[in-house]
Amino acid sequence: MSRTKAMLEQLGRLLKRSSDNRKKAGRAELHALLKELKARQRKLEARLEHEHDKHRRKHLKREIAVIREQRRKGIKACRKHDLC
Amino acid sequence: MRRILLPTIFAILAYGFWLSPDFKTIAAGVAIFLFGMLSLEEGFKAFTGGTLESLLRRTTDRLWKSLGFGLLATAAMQSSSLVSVITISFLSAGLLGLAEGVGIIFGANLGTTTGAWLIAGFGLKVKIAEYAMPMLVFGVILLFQRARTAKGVGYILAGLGFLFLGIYYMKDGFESFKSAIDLAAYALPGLRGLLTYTLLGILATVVMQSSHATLVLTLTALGAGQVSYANALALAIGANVGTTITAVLGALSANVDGRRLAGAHVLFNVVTGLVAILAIHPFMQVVEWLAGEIGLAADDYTLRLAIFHTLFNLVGVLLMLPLLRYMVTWLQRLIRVREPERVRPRYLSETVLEIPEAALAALRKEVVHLYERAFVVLAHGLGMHRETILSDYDLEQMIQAPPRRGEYDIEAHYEQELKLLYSEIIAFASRLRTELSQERSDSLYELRNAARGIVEAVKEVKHMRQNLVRFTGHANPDIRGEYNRLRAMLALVLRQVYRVGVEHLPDVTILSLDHLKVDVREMDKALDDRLADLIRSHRVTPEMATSLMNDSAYAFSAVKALLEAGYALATSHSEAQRTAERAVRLEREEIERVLHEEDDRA
Repeated sequence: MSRTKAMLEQLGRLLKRSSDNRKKAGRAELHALLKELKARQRKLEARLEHEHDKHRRKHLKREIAVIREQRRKGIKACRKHDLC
Repeated sequence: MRRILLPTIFAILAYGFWLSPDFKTIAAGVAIFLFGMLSLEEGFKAFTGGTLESLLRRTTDRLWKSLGFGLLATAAMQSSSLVSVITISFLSAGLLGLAEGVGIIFGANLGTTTGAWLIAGFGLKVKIAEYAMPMLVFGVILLFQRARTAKGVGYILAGLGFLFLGIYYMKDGFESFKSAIDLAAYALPGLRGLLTYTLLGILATVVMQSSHATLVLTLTALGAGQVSYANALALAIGANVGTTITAVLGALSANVDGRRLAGAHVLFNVVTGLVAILAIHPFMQVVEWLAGEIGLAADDYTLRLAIFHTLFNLVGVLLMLPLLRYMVTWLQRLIRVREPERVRPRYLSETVLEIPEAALAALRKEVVHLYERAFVVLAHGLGMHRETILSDYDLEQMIQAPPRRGEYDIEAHYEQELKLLYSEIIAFASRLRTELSQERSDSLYELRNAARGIVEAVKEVKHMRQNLVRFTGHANPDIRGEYNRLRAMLALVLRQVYRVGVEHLPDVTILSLDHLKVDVREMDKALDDRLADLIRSHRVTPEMATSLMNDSAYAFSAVKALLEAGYALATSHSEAQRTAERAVRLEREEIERVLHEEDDRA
């Protein structure tokens, strides 16, 4: 009886560790993605400063707005799931 | 090979036309006859799934019924050729099965014997060919009607009219050959004579396009003492075989089942003819006995011929009936459909199913394969080339060129290139489902949805294709412009999804699709505004506006499905990365916010 209980506890610990690992990996990936998006946004903002073509400026502005919104959503998800 | 074949046929025909005016008339007759067949088939198609189909099904669902149908129809029309040709077009239109068709043909062979009785008894020959002209006139008038049924009847009448007209021209062309047939010149005793006269009967029927005409000729020759009674019977056998030429001609424009039926007709008549030749003496004895029973005069050969005609056809039917099922199977094996090769899965297999991770990767590759195939179908559906869409050119500029004209059957390409692939993907995904963890299940769900979305996009473009071709070539620049914008938008989405999902270019990430989503939403809003303006200022007709509204709904639905597929097809380094990307992907609400903030800044 006690041996079965011990085995079950071991299995529980294993599953918890695997879930923790997944959570850790997910947190790391989201962090990396948000960092990447931030870098991309900065790069685009720098490009926008030197861009004079009206059409391309509109395109860049939209891309920046999309990334800003993606980052906002990512940070929200981070906080909600206690990832950050 | 095909490039050489057609000009060669044209050259031979042109030479023949130049050489002989009779050949020209005969060839024109064959052409009109075939056109009649096509028209007849088109007419019967209008009734597929309707009253005619249920009537036919009810009247031919048992063997005795289909036999009776053939018998009565032929007795009424006085032409087994016509009944066989109509049956072939029923089959080609999918209104009848092969077994029922063969039953009708058997019945028609019995029905045609009533002609011999009419000729012998009353000297009567019903000439329904005389109805050809009115049929054509009524048929063509009905073709101009809007109602589907009226149009269908119009096609049938015009088809019958053309059939008769074709037969008339063929007869006319063969007129010069007819005078060359001197029955007495081939008088031979015994089996040789029998075979010679059978061949003559076949030839005469092919030339005159009517077994009835051959029977009349035979009776005249018999009455004038030009042929013996035995040889007259051989001529009747030959007429029975020769009459199948019309069905063979009809089968030229028919589908595979139509050709099988023509094969059954030839087989039945040839076998019956052979039996009649081999057992001619017993047949003659039975005829004599029956003639005695009825009380026919000793020199009344015409009615004896009618009895013989009925008798050997009846024996033929009795002999062939038990073999009908085998005959159908044999014909199905002999005359096969040459179906174009359907596209099969490249990556899905039983072995890969054993390892969930590998199976998921294989499934992703297969969905990419499906997208690549669908890409070509969609590109052609939009009247564009795959290379044009994948180039770096500005698509708005590219679509200013008119779309490629001509029929592009999206449904046929879907059947051939996508359907099998799609169904295999769905089957594979269903089997894989039980083996996966939660995260992988999400990916599986995404991939299955992507496959569904790709197929849905093809269906949506199929719906809008007709108007797309119509309005992109329209004189009105506004409607032309709107449809071209829809084409450009779809092409742009196809291009981006290809770059994300198939090419995996480093600078085009999964999240770049969000930018496209914003662009598409903006286009949708702009179209709504422009449409209202176009209607208000009467720059498009209400009919154009409603078409555009419907088609833009199809186009945006296709775009949505393709974008979803794009998210699923993009590869990520790990499941964790994919989960992170899912977490930041923009949904409709966020897309609206981006556009809203843009408006505010403006």
